[in-house]
Amino acid sequence: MTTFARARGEIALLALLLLADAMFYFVVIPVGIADPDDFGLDQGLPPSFSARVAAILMAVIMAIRLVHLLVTPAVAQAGDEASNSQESENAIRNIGGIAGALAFAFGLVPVLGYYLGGVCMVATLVAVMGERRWSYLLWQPAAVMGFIWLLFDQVFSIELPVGLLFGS
Amino acid sequence: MDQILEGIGLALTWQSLLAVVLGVAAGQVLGAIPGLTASMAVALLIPYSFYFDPWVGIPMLLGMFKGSLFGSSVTAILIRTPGTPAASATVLDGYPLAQAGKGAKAVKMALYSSVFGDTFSDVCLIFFASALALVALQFGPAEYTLLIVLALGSLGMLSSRPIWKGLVATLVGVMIGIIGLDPITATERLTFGNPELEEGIGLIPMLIGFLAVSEVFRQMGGSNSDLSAQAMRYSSRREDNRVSWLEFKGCIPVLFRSSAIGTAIGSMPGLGSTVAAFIAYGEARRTSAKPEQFGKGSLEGVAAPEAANNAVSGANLIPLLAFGIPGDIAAALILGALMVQGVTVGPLAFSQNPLPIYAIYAALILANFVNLGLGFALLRVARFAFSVPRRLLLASVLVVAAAGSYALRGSIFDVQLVFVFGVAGYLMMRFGFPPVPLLIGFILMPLLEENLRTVLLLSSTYDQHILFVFERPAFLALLALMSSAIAFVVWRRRRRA
Repeated sequence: MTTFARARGEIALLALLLLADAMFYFVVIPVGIADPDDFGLDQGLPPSFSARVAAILMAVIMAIRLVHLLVTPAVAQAGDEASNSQESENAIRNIGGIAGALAFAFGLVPVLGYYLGGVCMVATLVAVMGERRWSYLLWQPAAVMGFIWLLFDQVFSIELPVGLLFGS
Repeated sequence: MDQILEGIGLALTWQSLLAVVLGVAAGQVLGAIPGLTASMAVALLIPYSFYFDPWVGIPMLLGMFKGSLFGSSVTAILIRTPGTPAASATVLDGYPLAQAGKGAKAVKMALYSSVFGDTFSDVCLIFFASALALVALQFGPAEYTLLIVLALGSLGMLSSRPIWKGLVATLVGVMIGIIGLDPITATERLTFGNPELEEGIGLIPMLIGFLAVSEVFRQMGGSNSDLSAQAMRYSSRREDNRVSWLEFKGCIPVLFRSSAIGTAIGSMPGLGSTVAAFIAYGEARRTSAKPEQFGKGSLEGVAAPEAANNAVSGANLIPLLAFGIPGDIAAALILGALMVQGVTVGPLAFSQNPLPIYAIYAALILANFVNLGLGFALLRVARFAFSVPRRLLLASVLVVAAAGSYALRGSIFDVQLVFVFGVAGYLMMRFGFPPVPLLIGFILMPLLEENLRTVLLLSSTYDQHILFVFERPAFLALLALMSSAIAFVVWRRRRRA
């Protein structure tokens, strides 16, 4: 990627984040934090103070960088994390894995419980990551969840959720 | 002298030695499990310790506390999943080393650094407990505020290029830290009526989500051959699997500095080992001769946080033993166990009945040696456990980590947060934002806000201007120390340039 293309990408990212920051300051904070009436400095700081300061600081930092980039686009650098060949080789697999994990947390655990939901998720993820042998898709998730049951239920006496279908 | 020998004798029986071995071993294993913190490990063992003689139960607890801190680093290094928050900073350089096949070298460096930091702070505890506690008590909210602001700023700036991404990530962490009830007015902040958010976001779901789950999501996109291969690859070269004397010698200045930072922070109630680890890491990077290697697999980057977070464990006992004030939750649990066992600590204990104090000192030093010995065994176990195919390990990390986050508060909401933060962390990595400053911002936010508010309240209560902080000797000393450290770094960089 050329320096100018990188600069364009960074400028677009900054613009988007500045917009999100403005939304946070002008919409989310007033809706999410109601400062008590007549709150004075003798009582310390109002509840929304920290959120507002963080949003303002963020805007200032991003605005400085934006101006810097607009004036001298050559300063654009690839980020450490993005540049060190950590790019995903298979975006579909990523999306499948993320969707499987979110389905586990929001659907399977509350309904089927942790152990059964965990077996389903581990089997799905291992299959998404290329395992095709049926026997492995059965025993590996069962072994992992068996280990979790032994550790949490038997050793620590921590009961993991059993799910709506099985009682709670 | 007789009393010292008698006290040491209490803790050096075969029963207490066995108790220390069991405590360290259990602590190392529990610490390696994501979500189970050092405090939780100690809390789990307390009920069992009551069945034993005090000088079997107490050494066991102390051993467990120390063991759990090292255990958490093993998974932080090998699979980017810190067992406890204190090991989060170790991920930064430990994991890149493991990816390069040098996982055993990184774990051994972590082990040596942990034992070094532990021993350093224990020696400080033994010789300077009262003096250090007196200095620590001079630190008030103004000094804490200054320390935290500087830590946030420097770590945010050092953690990424371009710098703005690190700073923005820090501030996002601060914003997430705001969620929950306001500590003074109890006003709901950014909870939007969700009762689960009133207590705020838990640290464990944040850590596991942003560090471990996001990394699992990233690795899922690897090639089939990568995912079916062994999860951990170790280089066959001997020098990649051990820490040579030269390498260790090169890290000695960092070890001393980081242990001193950990000891200083540990002697101040409230800050804790996670903060110490990040501050020591930032300091090591700032003063290193090769700062460009940090974040890419620097041994100094492993040594600094490990020495610091372990140094906190001994130093936490300084206010506990000298004044009876626990420095953190684990120290408070140890205090509880001591009280139930009939052991008194505090200023009077030193003059009236010092035997238990000397016995505790002996048990602490003993636990360090046991930690060193058992650390190698844990490395072997970890090498075996992580020899499974990568795809199975990745899926297993998700379910074990989510179970650990559930265990802490018994909330399915925390399990859901783990995955939401995992997605957020993955997206951050894709756009080049480092997740670690976000975690630091989140961890330090409550401390910063509490102390800043207290400073303001103090200034209004006494009808003083905010500038009253400049009348505090401790504030001025800290400011001078930090200014000279920054000036020294700038001078050294210019000289090098």
